[in-house]
Amino acid sequence: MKQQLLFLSFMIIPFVSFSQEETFSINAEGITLKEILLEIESQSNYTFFFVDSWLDADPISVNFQNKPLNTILTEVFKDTYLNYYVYKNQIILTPNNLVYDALPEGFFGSVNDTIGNSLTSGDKAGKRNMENISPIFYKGIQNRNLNKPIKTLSIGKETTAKSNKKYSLSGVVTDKVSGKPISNLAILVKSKNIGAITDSLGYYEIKLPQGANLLETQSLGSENLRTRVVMYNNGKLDISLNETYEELGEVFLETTNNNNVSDAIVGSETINVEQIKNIPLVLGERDILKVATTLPGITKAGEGAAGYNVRGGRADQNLILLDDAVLYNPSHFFGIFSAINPFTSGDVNIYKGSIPAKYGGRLSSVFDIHTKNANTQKFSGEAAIGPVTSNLSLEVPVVKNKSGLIIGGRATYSNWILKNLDEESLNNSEASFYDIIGKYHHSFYDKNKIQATGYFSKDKFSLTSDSLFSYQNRLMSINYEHKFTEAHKANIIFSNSDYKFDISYENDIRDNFQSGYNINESELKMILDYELNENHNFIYGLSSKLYVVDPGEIKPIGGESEITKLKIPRERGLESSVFISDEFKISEKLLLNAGVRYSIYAALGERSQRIYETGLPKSTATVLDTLNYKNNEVIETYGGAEARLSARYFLKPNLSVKASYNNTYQYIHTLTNNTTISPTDIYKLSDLNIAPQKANQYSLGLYKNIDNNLYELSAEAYYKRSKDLLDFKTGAKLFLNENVETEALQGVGKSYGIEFLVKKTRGKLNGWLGYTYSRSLIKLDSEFNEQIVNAGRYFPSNFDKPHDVSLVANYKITKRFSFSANFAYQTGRPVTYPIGQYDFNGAEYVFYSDRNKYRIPDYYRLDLSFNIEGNHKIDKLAHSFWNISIYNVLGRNNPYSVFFVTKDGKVEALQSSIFSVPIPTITYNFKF
Amino acid sequence: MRSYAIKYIVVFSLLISVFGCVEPFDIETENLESALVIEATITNEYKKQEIKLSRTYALGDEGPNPESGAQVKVVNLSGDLYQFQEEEPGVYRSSQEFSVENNSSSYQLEVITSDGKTYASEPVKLDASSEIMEMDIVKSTQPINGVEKEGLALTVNSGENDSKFYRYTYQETYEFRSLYRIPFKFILENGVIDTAPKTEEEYLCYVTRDSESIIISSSSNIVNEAVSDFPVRFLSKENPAISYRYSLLVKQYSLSREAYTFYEVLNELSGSESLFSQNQPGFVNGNVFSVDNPNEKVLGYFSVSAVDSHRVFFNFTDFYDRTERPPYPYNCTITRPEYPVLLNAVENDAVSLISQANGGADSEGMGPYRVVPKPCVDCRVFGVNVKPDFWED
Repeated sequence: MKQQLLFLSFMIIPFVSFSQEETFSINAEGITLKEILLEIESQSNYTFFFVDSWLDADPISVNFQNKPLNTILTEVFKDTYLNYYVYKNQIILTPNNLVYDALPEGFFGSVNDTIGNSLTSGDKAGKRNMENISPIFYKGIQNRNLNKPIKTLSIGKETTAKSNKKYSLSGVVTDKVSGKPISNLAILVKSKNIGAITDSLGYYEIKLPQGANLLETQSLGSENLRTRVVMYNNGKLDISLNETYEELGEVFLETTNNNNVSDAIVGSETINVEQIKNIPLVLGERDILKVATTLPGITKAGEGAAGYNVRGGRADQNLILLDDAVLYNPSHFFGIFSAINPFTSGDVNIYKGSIPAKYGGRLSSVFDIHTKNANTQKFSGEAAIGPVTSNLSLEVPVVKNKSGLIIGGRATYSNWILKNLDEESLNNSEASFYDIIGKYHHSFYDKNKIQATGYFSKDKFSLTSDSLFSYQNRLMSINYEHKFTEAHKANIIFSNSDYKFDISYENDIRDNFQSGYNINESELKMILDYELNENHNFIYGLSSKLYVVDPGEIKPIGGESEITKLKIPRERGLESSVFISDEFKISEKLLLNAGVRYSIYAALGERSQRIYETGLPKSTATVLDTLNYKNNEVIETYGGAEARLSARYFLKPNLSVKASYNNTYQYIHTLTNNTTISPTDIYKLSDLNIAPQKANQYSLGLYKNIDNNLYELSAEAYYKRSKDLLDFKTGAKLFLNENVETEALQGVGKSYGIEFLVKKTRGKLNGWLGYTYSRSLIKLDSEFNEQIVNAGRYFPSNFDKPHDVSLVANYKITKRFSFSANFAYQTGRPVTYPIGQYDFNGAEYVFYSDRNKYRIPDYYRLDLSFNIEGNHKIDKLAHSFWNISIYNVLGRNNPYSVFFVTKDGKVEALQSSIFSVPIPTITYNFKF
Repeated sequence: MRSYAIKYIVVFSLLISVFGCVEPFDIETENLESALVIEATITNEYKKQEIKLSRTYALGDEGPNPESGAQVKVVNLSGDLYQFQEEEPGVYRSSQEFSVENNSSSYQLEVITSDGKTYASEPVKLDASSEIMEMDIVKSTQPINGVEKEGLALTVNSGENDSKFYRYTYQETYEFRSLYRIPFKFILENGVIDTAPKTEEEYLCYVTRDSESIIISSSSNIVNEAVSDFPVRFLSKENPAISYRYSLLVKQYSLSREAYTFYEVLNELSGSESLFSQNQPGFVNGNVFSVDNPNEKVLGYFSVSAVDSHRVFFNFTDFYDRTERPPYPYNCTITRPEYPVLLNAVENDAVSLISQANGGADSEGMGPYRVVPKPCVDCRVFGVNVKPDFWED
């Protein structure tokens, strides 16, 4: 299909004659199509007209006994792009096109009977039913200002069957040189506002109207292609592109292209790892989740805080999925690094507004992180050497074009750094982490795919010679995909996640101990995707998840230790759900995504549970009875229907308004009374005495793209109400507490905000600017004094930061050099101050302010980075990339926490900060 | 358990010390509230009831900060009114003796401070009794600062009655014997050291101390079960208080469920020893409030309790062998300071006489007298040398 094809605008054949009932017999094995045609010619006086290259040279087997000509031809052309037309004794083959022997209805303005009669009076073989036929006409699309001629490709075989107005075009986009799939490539028809993005396998699927479409591709790092495709039917188009570095330095997030305006989801973001490489780094680590925090609505409580707060939600309300398995602790080193390997990650989709029905179990958001697929063509790799960590990933083809393995690992040499510090107290310290990930994917045939991921991360601290603290994530998932038809496919996913921490303490005194926590979950999930027609796309399925939690234990080490062994009994729970959603195109302007999910949770034995007096606060004092449940006996069930509704309406082609409503349930809770999340926080399952958390969120957004998506503007507002949020009494003790419910308070939450985002997606200067005004409030009220916090009024949550400004900008100086900056400003987070002390019953007590009444000083930070791309010689061994970053250029001493110490009988207020000076780093990356 | 918190802190401080910094900052103290603290428990004992008022004070200042000049009264909702007079700064006693009656109507506290603000308590009622059936002294091991220690637990068994919640206070009194029993002492005559026979008891004293923490218990789990074997006081075997004879007076106050929870939270908050408080701190609500301004914070609790008390005595040798006595609570090294040093020490009353030194210099020194620090000889450093009235030998 290299040369431009014959340009068939349309053909008018006034009359058709095809009266013979001549029959043929052909019986042959391993015969080519051409030979069949020649055979027919030899048996009759028909002549075929065709170009040799149209005919497949693959031998086929045929067995026709006295069959009419059209039966034979229909059969042999069935699997080709060829149509045929019989005109007298001439048989004209046409690629793609049908030869119409009639004018379409209304071609001459109105249809009169005469024409109608003549059109239908033909012989039956040539007779065509005019209904539902819409022939395809296209005029040459003017290719102005282009040096290269635009290629025209014809897709599919035109049929006379009921016509879809749109056909599906799918295929794989690969790099011409390496053969690697190109992910996150935008494929667009600009004039029609249609777009698609390639997935991590380079696969795309786009719905195009019949006829000619000017297809363009856009990505960073690949050439931009413009091709005219003429759609006759559903078809395939594989594209291979040259890698280019022209777009170097272009930042990010641009790939969703027109999606921000056109899809029905409110409050979703996609970050592609490839595209964040220019963002300034902390200690040399590219961090996908840190980039997420530069987007409106996603914040951290502070540097050194391990969790993320999405739209005023607590950190445990985020469902963080790494290849479909839950990642419990997404941080290393107290949140300074993320636990996601940047080299093996493909992209992350973040849903903070309307959450698709297939996800559930957490209230606030979903971070769906995908590992990219390995190159199946050739061995390749990437490495980075930074000041604190090093990183290596390898892509190994296993079966060419079918399967590959990607493995990545990271490790820190901070131990070595600590040993060499001048600070003597730290020389015996240890602080290290590492993570490894591997993913194997295999495409069996067109219809079946399988991928499997394994991940392990570990953090370890030993900062005094007698203590050792460690935590680890371990997860695996297997995803099997089967296509029943092009429109109907199923994914069956099994995943298992495990998170635990251990604390051990050994010194000369007799109080050596080991203590730990563990949670394990296994999930089986089936997701089906059925595209009924172009107006309905159903996604439905079911899932079931088993939690096993060992909430904590402590045991003595060695015979000398006098620590008493204590083990909190195991908790188990089963969370199951069914879900269905339909993306329903009501009209060209109105798109509705309506889903419902029903989730049910059962707390399972074997366990004992306390029964408390109803109407009284739960405490040791109000225990009525203790019930014992047998293994697998259902202790309590919770559940309910969750609505997932969102809709988009086009006000103008590049201006849309979207609205959504969501409700969610959460059956697992973090126990933390730290003001910020820490790795010693433990997860607790809902049971007889702890109800699930619930939330309702309403969002409304306005989206506009200007100048062919050069600028994307959006404004989103949300209002969220939560119920049964788990909080704790003043002074609660949570770890190794068998009856945590006596410390728990379940309150209502309210958060609302408005988020503005302006992105410039292309050009020398690109990046984005976001501003968010938001509040996150909680109310703990009760008829009992001890359960009231702040007089039962709404008060700011620990992460309520009303004003948040983020700027990420990238300036391309030349093709090889670029410069980026990142600025963040946030209101200081709330804290509770001790405001005095008093004497009571012979002892001194501290007098605290209302909870979260005060705020620490505002946070602001500027980071700069300079990127140097290696030279562009094609034959060189490796492609290199230097990044020089300065984190916190202004040296702002941003307080992370404030605390109070008693020193010589005086209480002193101190503030701590993690990075109080500019931190320069230099990182070297290379690809081979 | 507390060590976890501390370990975590160490980790954290590392991070800070590597990349960041810790520096003091000023909290805005001008606008900080000062709150009234009400410590009020009236009981079913017929006596002058006592209520303490104080005010919070700035962090780091010396307390207490008594609240003087307030008008304090307790009203019984059936019409009785009891006025309180300030007898010491911040300590108000009822003008007349009275006792709270069980199952009578509710009592309410009213306080008008000198600046004219009015405070009140929620009405509270006595609907429980308090009875200590017996006290036991049992050998036991208990964790002290995370380390299991051998020792004696003094336990209470309450009677079966209506209350499920108790607060305990105790007063311990014990014999204290000096390490050395010396019949002579130093005297100074015209600036010259001499010795003379002792005229006052310096060997046997009695030390009395009040409880300094909130001790609460509940007979949980099953309704109306008595509190049994509740350890009010644990004395490690190494505690010098039990070296000879020891006595404990325990008072058991009945509590309402609400009062119990209040004390429980207060306990938990003060139990946090770590620098970075792992606990969520905050204001602890009691049952007292400002009448004028519902947003004003008032600390403390007004409780109406039934009370019972019980005293026990025991000797160290009732439980352990005399060779196992706890170490003396002072480092008593005998020295022979040279005369000028000795003179200075005697003038400052810092040392006590053991004996006259014989001969020349030895490992103790070369001075004329062998001496030890005063606490090794004079028990009055620790207690009083008068036997209390209640003491039974």
